Amino acid sequence: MSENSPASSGLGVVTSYTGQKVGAKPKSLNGTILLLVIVGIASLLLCEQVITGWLALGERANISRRDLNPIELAMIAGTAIWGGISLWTALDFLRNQKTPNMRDYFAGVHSWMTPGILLSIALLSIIGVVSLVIAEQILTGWLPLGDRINIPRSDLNVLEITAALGAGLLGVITLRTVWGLWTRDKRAWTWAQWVVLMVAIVGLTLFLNGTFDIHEILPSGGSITDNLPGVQELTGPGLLLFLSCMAVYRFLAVGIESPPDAVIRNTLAKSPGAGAIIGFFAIVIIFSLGSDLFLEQRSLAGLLATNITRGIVAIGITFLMISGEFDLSVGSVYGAGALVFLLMMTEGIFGIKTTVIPAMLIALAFAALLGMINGLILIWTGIPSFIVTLGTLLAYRAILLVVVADGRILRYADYRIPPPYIYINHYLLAAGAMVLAVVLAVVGFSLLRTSWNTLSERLAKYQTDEDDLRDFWIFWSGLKVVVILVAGLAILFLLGSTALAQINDANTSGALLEISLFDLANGRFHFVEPTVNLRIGVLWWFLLVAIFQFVLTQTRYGNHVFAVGGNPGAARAQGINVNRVKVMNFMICSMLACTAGIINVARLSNVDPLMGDGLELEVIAASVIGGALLSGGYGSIFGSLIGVLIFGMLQTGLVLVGVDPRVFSGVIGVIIILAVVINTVVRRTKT
Amino acid sequence: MSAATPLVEMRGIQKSFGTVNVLRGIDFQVDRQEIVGLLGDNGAGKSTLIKILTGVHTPTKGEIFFEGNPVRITSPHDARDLGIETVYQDLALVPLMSIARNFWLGQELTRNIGPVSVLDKEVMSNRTREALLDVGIHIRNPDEPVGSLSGGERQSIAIGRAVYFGKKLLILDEPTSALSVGETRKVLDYTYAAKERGLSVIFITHNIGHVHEVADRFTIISHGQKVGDFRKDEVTEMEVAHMVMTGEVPERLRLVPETGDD
Repeated sequence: MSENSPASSGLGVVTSYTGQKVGAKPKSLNGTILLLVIVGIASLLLCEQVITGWLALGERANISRRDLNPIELAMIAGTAIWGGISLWTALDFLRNQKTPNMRDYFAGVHSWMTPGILLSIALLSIIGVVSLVIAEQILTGWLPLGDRINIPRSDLNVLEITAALGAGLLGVITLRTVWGLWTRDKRAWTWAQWVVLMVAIVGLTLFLNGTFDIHEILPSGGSITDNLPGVQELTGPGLLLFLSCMAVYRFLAVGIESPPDAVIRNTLAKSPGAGAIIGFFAIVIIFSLGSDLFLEQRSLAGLLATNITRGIVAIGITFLMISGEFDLSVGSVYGAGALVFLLMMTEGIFGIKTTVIPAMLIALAFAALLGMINGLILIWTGIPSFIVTLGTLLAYRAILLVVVADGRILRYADYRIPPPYIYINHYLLAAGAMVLAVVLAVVGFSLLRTSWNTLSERLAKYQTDEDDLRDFWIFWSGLKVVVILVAGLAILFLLGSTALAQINDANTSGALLEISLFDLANGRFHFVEPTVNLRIGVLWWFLLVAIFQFVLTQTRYGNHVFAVGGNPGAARAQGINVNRVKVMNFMICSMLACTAGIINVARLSNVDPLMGDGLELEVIAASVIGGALLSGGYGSIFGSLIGVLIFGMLQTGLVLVGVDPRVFSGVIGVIIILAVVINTVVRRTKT
Repeated sequence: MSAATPLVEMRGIQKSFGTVNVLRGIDFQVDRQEIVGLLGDNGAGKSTLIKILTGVHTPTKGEIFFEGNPVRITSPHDARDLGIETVYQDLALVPLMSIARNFWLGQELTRNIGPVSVLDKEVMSNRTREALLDVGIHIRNPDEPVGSLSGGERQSIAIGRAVYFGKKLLILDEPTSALSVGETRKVLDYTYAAKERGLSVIFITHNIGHVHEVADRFTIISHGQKVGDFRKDEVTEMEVAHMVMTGEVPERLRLVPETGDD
């Protein structure tokens, strides 16, 4: 190995085939040394803590320290050894200019007793053993999770089973990796990096959890020292774990072209909603730590239910924004569409009154017309869409103001008509279920075949596969196959039993099935408790997100939408009818706004002249938070979903954690700018 | 249709925008498997002439023959159907989309999952890689966004795409004006590769240095009129540059009769 060339005092700089200077002391090593020193001292401190009884483990608080339990003994030993190794490694790195590295270890240059190498092996061994112990603890009931303390262990909850399985799997993988490192199997290098990085994240989570608990405890009385041992149980070890993993990770990643953190960053950078996803988790964590109410069913259901409108309108706006245009008139179209829908059923328009389904179709057609007007003005005059739709925003609002004049509110209930029901033949419903089942079976089978092919391809080339993570990929494809198979069979079973039940009902009762259309559009879910306001509209929202995300990323039309927004000239040169795509998108956007209006009418049964006023800016904000570029050509519908959720979470969350609601718009403003900045930065980090 | 029939022949093309006569009767032709350098100073009418050929503008007067048949090209779609592919300096590709998606833009491959047809991304990626390799263009990853590529790489991909889709005429609009020397070199190589594969190429530029090496013939226009039409062996680089600049044919060349196959 050239790295080992005897350049006098080890100052010789040797470049490995990755182009990185391996033999030299990298700049980042100073950070690693600092980390190791901190870790070493912290470990020894923790060891001392356990011995002197400050940190009682298990159920053994406040007992005499002469009576240490086995876990505590193991912990004393572990922290002492770990602290020793860390300090020894730090000292060695500090003293010697030329530090050992993994590449040399695999080339057989170093023995396992080299600083750094031993450090990695030790950490992985500890992680592996501890994971297995944790899994065992959960199974035997020593470490109950969730709210289920003191229950018999035959009754594990889902959380516990998942945790036990996860910990067990991690333990096995880690120990296998240790064995790989020991036998100098080069694949273990990659595995070690991933394991250490994942465990570092676990450590950070534990630490944050503990830290924020201090926050929770303070206002409720009691001094910080009273609660310190309890808090430290998570913070101390969590932080120590995090720092240890980071130190080892930095050591492992030396000389690697694309270490796991770069892989993760690149993957994120490819996703338009990356900033939004990061922000989403950050906000969930902050609010759930800040308020116990936040993660309650009631709050979550309310969060979803109140954002249906924004969510559905944001789909259209995002779609349009990706094609490089912009629609300020959605708020007015939303109101006008809802108005037409309600008018058709109650007063009638031009003397024509219809039932609910034609009313819905007419409202959608009307909205499509409004959207088409937007689009046609745009392409005929060439005026920017901002101005065009600013005009139509006001113009379309006038429809509502004129029709629903004199401060009136149009109410369904004022017309003394019963809520709309549809009557469906049981056989028809059964047939519908069967048709859906067949379609889903075909789609599912196709997906299953693709995943199965991937799996068998990977299995076939297993022996010759160069990929270090080949076992993981096989596990992953296998998991996909199983999930598709199980989910598919469950859905088919559900549809089949529905069909059978309908046929059975038809035979026994013979009457037609009565379904309230308003409930179908946006009623409450029956199976949740009454205080939980979960609405069926949420389902429609998610379904529309799925459909439009599919259209955008998987179909020809979606490809054209991207091209039209990204470079209209190039799109035109490739024979895409740019104007048609734009007008179509304006129509889609308006129809989605109208759909949101109909769903809202189904719940509230009224339309007031200012319905949807100001909606456009909220929705555009949500789309931008979700990663869509205002200049076009970039964005995702899934991102818009996240964007809307962030918007909604801030609205409810700030109230829950006790922030003055008047600050809300200020916070939203800051968040929008932050989101765009994060999105830009994440995109740039891509190499 | 004999081999002597030019691929494209434009006769007496005139174009005026309002009262401004941009083209005052230009004859222009491209033979099969020929690289023609279309030269002229800024505002000479090169772009207008080409936009008439690609259907962006319709001529005020004049005829166009494609493979000997009179054609009316009224939209970019018509030009595309005839097998004319234009590569614009900045309009060739969509920067935020991947190489593969750009390559197949407008003629995406799909496969059916039950009743819905979805993009066949894997096949598109693989064929993109193969097709570009075929003309000698190596790409790292077809799923990479075009925005991460250099100007020369973008031009190359656009050329590779035209070759792959079996076009007959490739129009390169100022393809090298923003490129480094090394990249210009590469674009010229791919241009030559396109010719080798049977395409004709119109190479528009105002700088003779960029095209002298690969072109078979030069057509020079100035102020909406053709200055001259010369085979490469008839003129020197200096003389062409002079003609582009002044719009006048040097004394030495005036006696030479019109050349070409007609």
